[in-house]
Amino acid sequence: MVTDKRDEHLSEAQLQAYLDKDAALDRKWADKHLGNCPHCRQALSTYKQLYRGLADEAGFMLSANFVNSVTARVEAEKNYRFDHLENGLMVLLGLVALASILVFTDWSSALMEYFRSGSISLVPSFVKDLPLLSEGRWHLVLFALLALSAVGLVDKMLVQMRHR
Amino acid sequence: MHQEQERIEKIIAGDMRAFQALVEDYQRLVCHVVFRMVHNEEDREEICQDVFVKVYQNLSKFEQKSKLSTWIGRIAYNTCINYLKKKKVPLYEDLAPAESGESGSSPNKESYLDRVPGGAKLADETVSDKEMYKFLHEEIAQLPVQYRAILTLYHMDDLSYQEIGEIMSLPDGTVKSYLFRARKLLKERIIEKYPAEELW
Ligand SMILES: [Zn+2]
Repeated sequence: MVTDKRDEHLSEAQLQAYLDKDAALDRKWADKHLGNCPHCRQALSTYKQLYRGLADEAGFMLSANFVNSVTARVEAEKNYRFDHLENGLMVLLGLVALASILVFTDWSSALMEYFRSGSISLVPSFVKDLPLLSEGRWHLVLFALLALSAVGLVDKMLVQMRHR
Repeated sequence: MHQEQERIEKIIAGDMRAFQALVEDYQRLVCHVVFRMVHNEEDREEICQDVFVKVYQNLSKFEQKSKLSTWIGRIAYNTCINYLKKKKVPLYEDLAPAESGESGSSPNKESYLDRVPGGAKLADETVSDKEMYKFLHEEIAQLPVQYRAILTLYHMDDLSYQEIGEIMSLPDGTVKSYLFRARKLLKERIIEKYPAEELW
């Protein structure tokens, strides 16, 4: 593309290569030709002006608080994701806690008791049956889950307070 | 390069100051790409924000195979392409053939002349750089989107053919030939608009 044609004017490609400082162009020859040829000097000067115009940044301006706006959006999206994670985790904890209660309390006999007596003494029978739990170490697990949920809640409240 | 790696690690660890410094360093590049590719002024700044939100969220996936500038440029370019696709802007047009020396009036040329108030200037008037640049910006805006992106990345951000090729998923040779054709066309536009005598 940038071969020398000793007797001719610089081609469009050669003029561009000259300004691009393309190593493939014989610069000595081009300089010599430009020194003697007003036609090519004119063409080169138009290209020079074009190149200056192409590098002109007028109108390419972001608002002064762009960096802060981006940071705020990134923070907001982080919190949004974190909120979802936290909510999901807490629902999961709740389900695990519920499942543990169902599996490790004697809820079926409590229900039987309920149907037998016909009274609404479901809650007291749960309380009565709770000691069954402490026979294993499941009360520790339940306690830990409840404690975690509580910590999660407090943490969330603190984060929300800080944002307000 | 090592400093860059350190900064990336800081950002991934949650250092927002490091992230802000990164935004400051690359906002010019992103602004150039987005402003050149997207004509709708109201959407431009938000798209620039989108780019940096994506940069933040994907930084842990950045492999040091390419330069960070190329990677960010690629996100900016792809974000614009997706935006333009959504807006149903035709993406893969080619340059309108510009036969210099012929005064044949293709419909393209006519509409182009219609847009230029006053037509060509008198030879004794000199053209200020500012006026010339304004004309040029308008002409660039008429080019197909890939040509605009290449011109911007090469002339405003001093990226190499190879880096531009990485950003736009094009071979180096294609980048070079698009660049050549776009500049040749723009030079012809300048000559049409401003007779040779008044240029310096
Ligand atoms: Zn010549």
